[in-house]
Amino acid sequence: MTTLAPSKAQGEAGQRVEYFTPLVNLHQDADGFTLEVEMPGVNKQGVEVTVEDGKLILGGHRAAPGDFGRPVHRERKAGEYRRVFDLDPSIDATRISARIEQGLLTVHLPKTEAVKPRKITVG
Amino acid sequence: MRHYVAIYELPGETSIRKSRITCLIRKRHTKTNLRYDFRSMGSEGEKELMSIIRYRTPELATWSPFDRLSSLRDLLDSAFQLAGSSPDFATGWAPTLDVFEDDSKITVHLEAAGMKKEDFDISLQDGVLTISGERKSKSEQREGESLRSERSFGAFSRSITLPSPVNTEAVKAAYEDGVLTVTLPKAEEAKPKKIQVELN
Repeated sequence: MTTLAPSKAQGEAGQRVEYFTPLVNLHQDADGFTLEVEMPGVNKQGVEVTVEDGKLILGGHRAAPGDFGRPVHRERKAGEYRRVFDLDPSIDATRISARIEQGLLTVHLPKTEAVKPRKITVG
Repeated sequence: MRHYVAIYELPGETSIRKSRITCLIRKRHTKTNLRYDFRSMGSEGEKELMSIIRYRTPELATWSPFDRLSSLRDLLDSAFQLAGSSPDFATGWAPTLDVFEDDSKITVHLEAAGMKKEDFDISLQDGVLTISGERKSKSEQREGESLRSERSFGAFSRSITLPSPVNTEAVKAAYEDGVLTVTLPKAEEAKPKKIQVELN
């Protein structure tokens, strides 16, 4: 995984749509990369993980909040989550898997077999 | 946020430390004849900013690897966003919360993804609701290396002084999709009562 490129996309009629960037933890081991993305308030129906053009696009849609009355104190930000990562060529895009649990999206990005470290026995 | 948009779009990369960037921005602030609006700067403004950076710190004329730019952005993100957004910032992690009130109840939403409901401790005393807990990190047990670590871990505690008395027996909490929702029904005497106006 190289860079990250948080993006602002064009909505309808050329309007700029702002997205909220979810926090991530990225871990690497011999098998591949593991990405943990925090998207509180997002469930399986609202999350979207896409691989396109060598990029990993993560999106999260929060269900509209119910009516709880008048706000006394507000800290949570409203809006959609979005974050885009450039995929390192060593990642096997066909074997990327993801699951979401309690607002935490975990994406596993395995490396292609060819690039994994291999012990070569010397004859 | 406008500050770093211009810097982000500069070609190449800089390895300016955070303190230097804020110092540069402040210096430009004092120039009263310049309109301080990076969004409308255009290419002339960007060239001017680039030349200022080069002049002040000549070693930055060599550009370092591109992925450092994202950490610069994050540095500025945290400098401009976090300040003032959570009262317990200085002591560690403070999950964000919302408090709502209607005629019958008070509702508190606390954002904390990736936890289990057993990890939360909710207590109510003297009209103050305290939610605390701990989010443990799995990364210590894992092999390999951490490449990016933005998520917060560890113990947290948020206290809220409730805007009106509640019925302590009937308080409920649920943890779903990473949001802890605490529902506190108001005490009977705190609920608004309709008063009949006698007409003669």
